[in-house]
Amino acid sequence: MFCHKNGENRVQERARIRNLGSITPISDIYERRSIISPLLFAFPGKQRPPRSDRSVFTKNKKRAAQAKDTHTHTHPNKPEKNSSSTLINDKAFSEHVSGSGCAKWRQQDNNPAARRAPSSVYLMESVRCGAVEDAVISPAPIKPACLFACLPQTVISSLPSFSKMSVFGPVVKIHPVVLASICDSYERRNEGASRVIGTLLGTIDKHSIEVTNCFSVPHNESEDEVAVDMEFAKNMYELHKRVSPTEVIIGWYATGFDITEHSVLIHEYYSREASNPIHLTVDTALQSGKMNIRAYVSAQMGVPGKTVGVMFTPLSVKYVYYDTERIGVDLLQRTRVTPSRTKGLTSDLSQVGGAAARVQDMLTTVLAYIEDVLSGKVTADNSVGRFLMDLVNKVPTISPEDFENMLNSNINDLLMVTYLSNLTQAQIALNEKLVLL
Amino acid sequence: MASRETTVFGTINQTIVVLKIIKHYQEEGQGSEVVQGVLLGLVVDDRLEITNCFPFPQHTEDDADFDEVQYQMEMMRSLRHVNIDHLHVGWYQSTYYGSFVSRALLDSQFSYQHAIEESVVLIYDPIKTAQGSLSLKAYRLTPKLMEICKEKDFTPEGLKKANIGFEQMFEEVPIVIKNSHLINVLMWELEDKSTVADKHELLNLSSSNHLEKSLQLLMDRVDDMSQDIVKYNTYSRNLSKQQQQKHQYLQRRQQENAQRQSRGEPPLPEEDISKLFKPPQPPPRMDTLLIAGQINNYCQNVKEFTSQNLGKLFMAEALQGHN
Repeated sequence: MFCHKNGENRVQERARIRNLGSITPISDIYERRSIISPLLFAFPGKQRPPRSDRSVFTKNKKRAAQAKDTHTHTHPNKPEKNSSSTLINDKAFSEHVSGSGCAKWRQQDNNPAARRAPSSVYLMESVRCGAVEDAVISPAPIKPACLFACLPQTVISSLPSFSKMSVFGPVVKIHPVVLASICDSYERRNEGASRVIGTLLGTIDKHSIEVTNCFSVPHNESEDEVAVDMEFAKNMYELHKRVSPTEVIIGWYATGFDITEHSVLIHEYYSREASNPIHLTVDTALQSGKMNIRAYVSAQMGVPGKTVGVMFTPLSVKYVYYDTERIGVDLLQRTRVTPSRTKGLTSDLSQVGGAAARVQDMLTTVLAYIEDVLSGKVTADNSVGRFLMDLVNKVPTISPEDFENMLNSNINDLLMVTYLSNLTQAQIALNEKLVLL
Repeated sequence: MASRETTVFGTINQTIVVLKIIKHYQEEGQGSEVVQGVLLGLVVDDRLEITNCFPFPQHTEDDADFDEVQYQMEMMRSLRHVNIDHLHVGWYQSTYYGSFVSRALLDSQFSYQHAIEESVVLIYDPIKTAQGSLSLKAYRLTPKLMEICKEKDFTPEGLKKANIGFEQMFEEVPIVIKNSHLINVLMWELEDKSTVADKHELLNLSSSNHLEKSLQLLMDRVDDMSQDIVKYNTYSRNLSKQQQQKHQYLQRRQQENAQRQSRGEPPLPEEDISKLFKPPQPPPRMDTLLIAGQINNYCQNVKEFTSQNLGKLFMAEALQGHN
């Protein structure tokens, strides 16, 4: 994305900074994207699907705009629905609906066929657009589809959901710990600093880049110059390397909405440390009402031989979790709903109760949908019907006696273990008392 | 409470601490090795706020000690530059099926608590977490145990004096997770944009594997305990035998003295009995205490696990009943 600024004096200012050429307004970029795209991608593999995305493009914009409205309306109403309401979130419903077609996207990065998936997704979307457009106003019926796509063990991947851009290329996978770190260092910034920068650490795969760690680097920024404490950055990197030797510097991050000219300089420095560094921006000032998290990579552009410029091209961002991370994040997300933003850790049977309550919530939504279809309010959707079939068939049919036997033997095992552990505890308590006699 | 001892009523973690600990274990701690790290934060009123943490490298090099101290100092200095709290408030450790009550942990926690009154050790159980619920517990040594460790008096008499049982070794401190508004926004974002993985690990019915391992560890510990008990029994038997011998010797002495007196000879000097009969060494009771504590921990975990599973089984029965 170009460093896009208005005004003539800015132009002159930027001409002062080396390596920058002419400025193109953003709108032109979108038009010219199809021309520029073959030049831009220094990465192997993926070509963007040529034409279908353009039409979907506008529809994306419209849908995103509408979804944004519904998003702000409905969220205050369902504070009690926990992270499982990711499924029932109307804002992302379109992505989920189309995403349900591609399974396990994020784990098939080495499979070139999988990267065709986005194009197929978009085609599906354009086909569905007709049906879905009507349903955009009342997104409720589409929700259960996401639900069922989840239950039969497929991992739905959400599409890169930049509201206005759809880009393909190497995927940047971010762990939540990185984002939490960035937010934390933003909150602790020095007085007067408007943004924070830091280094990103992670691993590079053949076609994807995984960001697993980061640390912030002190820097000073003024109108004319940028001073970044590189010594510090090197030191920290060494320390981090001792703990996790597999992580390498893969780029840097900055908080703030846009890319400034200072970013270019910093980016240049980092390209000395790592080949083709990534630049991540996190909009902590929430300028557009959301926290935009974007990743860029720089590419040369311009006329060869004459002034060359640097352009930041966006990359698609995905969030990945380890299993344990996922569970941790689930718990952490429940802090959103309490007014004091706190949450204790529960234990024991109450957790099972909580999980059961969540499943029950999901089931009520499903039932509501089914009622609607039966009463004719909503047209039936075949794929949803198939998922429903799956759901009902998931409860295995076993003859009652067999099931009784299995259940009883399991329960007996558990009861015996409980009894034994109680016995052991009594034993050691007794032993202790005897010693003290 | 008393002016010198501030009891910590609760700890407050930030999101980032939890995530970092999870990540550290995931990347570096495969297998049964423990991963450790330092907790940073500060003390506010009666709460301990943990705001950041960093991991320790594994002890693979020879000059591990030197590296450790230097690593720690450098890390803290660097973190101070970026305005992260650089005050040590404790340390964290991962555990394997709940087996963390050991001499090493006791020593480390003692030295921490000695230096910093309110420090805690956070125990993170990755296996329990993978089963569906984040398992993070904070422990401190009770004041009684602190005193004992200070005096290094581990004999049975010493422990009896302090009247300490295995349940009074560690006290658990309740953990609360608190987030700032910005992190809240981040959580909303993540929920929007992230995929929906299987979050139903908690409702998984298969339990035998976990149960087996837990019981195996429990059995090992009970074996250790029984050995210890046998040692103690032999000691007490020896002690009582010695008492008897002393008694007999004294009696014989007295008899002889009486005879000599009757014959008019001077009585033999009373020899120092303690030199003749050296009392056997009482075995140190600290290990027993630790083992008892560990067994207690295992039993608690097993009971929790079985209660959860019973609930799940009954749910499955209800589902089946409808068919």
